[in-house]
Amino acid sequence: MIAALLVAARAARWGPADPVPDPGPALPEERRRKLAPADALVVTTGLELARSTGLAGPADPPRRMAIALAADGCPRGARAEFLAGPPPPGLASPTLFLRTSANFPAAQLAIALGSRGPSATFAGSADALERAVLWLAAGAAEEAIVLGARRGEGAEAVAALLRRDDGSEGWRVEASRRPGRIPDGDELSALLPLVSPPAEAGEVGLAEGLRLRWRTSR
Amino acid sequence: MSGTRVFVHGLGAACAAGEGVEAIWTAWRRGETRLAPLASRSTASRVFVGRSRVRSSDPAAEPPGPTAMALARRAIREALGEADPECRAGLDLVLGTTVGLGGDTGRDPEGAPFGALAERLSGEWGFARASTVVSSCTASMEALGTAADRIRAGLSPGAVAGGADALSDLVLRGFDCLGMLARRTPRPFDRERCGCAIGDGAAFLLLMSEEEGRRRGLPAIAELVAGAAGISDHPFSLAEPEGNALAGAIAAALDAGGAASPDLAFVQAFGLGTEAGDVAEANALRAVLGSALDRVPVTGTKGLFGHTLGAAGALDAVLSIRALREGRIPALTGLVEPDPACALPRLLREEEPARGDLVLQVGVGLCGQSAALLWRLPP
Repeated sequence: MIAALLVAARAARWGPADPVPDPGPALPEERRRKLAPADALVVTTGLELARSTGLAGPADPPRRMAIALAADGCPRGARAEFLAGPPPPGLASPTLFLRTSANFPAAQLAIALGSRGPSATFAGSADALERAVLWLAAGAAEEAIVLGARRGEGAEAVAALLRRDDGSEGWRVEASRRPGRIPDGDELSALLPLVSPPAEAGEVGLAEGLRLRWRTSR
Repeated sequence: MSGTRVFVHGLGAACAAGEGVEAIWTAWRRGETRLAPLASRSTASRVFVGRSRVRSSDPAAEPPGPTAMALARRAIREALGEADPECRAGLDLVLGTTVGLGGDTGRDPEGAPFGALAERLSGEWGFARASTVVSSCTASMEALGTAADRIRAGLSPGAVAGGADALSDLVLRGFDCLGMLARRTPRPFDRERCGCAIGDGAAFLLLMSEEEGRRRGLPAIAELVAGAAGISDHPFSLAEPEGNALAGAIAAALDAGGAASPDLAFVQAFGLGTEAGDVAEANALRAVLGSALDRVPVTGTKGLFGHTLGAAGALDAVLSIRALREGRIPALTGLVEPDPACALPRLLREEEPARGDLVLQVGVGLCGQSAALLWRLPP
């Protein structure tokens, strides 16, 4: 049984004005323009979290930070945009094609943070979170960032950074969320306890056999 | 993580080279490429692809569905083999894919999310849990690594893990615009390389802990010693020349497995068949394995059945294990004259005996994704 102990949690709230917040110099405009809107939301939320936790900018040597992404449903918008391009022998856009790959946001985050740690992209947020915990437990990474987004109308993103907590058996978790309505049972549900853990210490099941226990310092 | 060891108890595969592990293995040994030209509306001119016969199988013979699902059913059935329903109890399904149910057209007419293929298969077979990995072309290697780590952590008694993908407009058009598609038979690592052929495929492995396999009475045919996945921080990650991310994954897998490069019987290369990809892969192998590469043979399968995307890693895993068990390493399909720029002196042009019981399998994917797995014969 794997259990992660959340010893501190903090929800950093975004302002509601800009649908895709400016992540600052970590993600230059020419790179941001390559991202589909939902992916930009994921990447910028992850970068804001990195900045607020002292991980902004590329590192030398590269970080061994794990990146686990929950990709939700397929990137329909990116696929439709790519397939709507000029038919052969016209010139389709390589950038638009790369955007159809589910792991594209993880790659953009790795570039911005200078990370060469383990990375995988999953369809579900519980699987992504579990993967990050397993990497940390195995010592494959010193810290892990887990991200997810709900696409389409009302898109929103959640990012959580898990780091080993000195002096305890668990990991310290810091999380941020683009505010918005998150329906019950959607693809972000496994990440929500990381953003807004209840005031009292508690425990929640994330997947078969995987539970998180936490105490909060807020 | 615990010291639990993870063993393979079943293999299943289907692709252009054949239906079933035996047929694909035989085709690989014979060096019989099963790739053929296709005039597609998605590409600027005729390209080579690997189309599985499962694609055109009698719809009455099994439940109808997209090609990826038919391929996956075929491979899962073979991987489970003689494991009766009682032996299958509590198993997870961990599936890697890039297009999922949208494979036949790439337009995803059902609007199916990535997880739909695994969910439907899980419903048919009664798996305890279905998970989907969508990390581009290394997806099934990461599915295998994830399943193994769950078993090691005691989260799961076992899993059917692998991948499935089918030809699609999306992928053909995408790889064409990247200038990666072959207009003749692919020849990875060759002076005359010409790109890659996209293919249909599915492969799955039945994984269990040592204790669970023994309890269920299933013989072990290989051990998944260790795995690692990485991503590149290089801004042009499609063709990172040094192969740093892959090198990191190889080093991490060897370290986690407590293995050293001289222990390797052979390397199962990814061998995409593009100049940038082949050179980067060779550089990554050289950076980690060093002078051992002067002795360790390197082989590959993309010239046989094409690049099967989310299934590619699982297909190579199945064939790596088969080669270990047979004690023979088939030649790298399509190789005639090795490209000296790749600095891999032991690229196999002919089959040779395997000396050792450990194989390193590597994989790379779009957006800088990379993975490495270590397989070994059981004691």
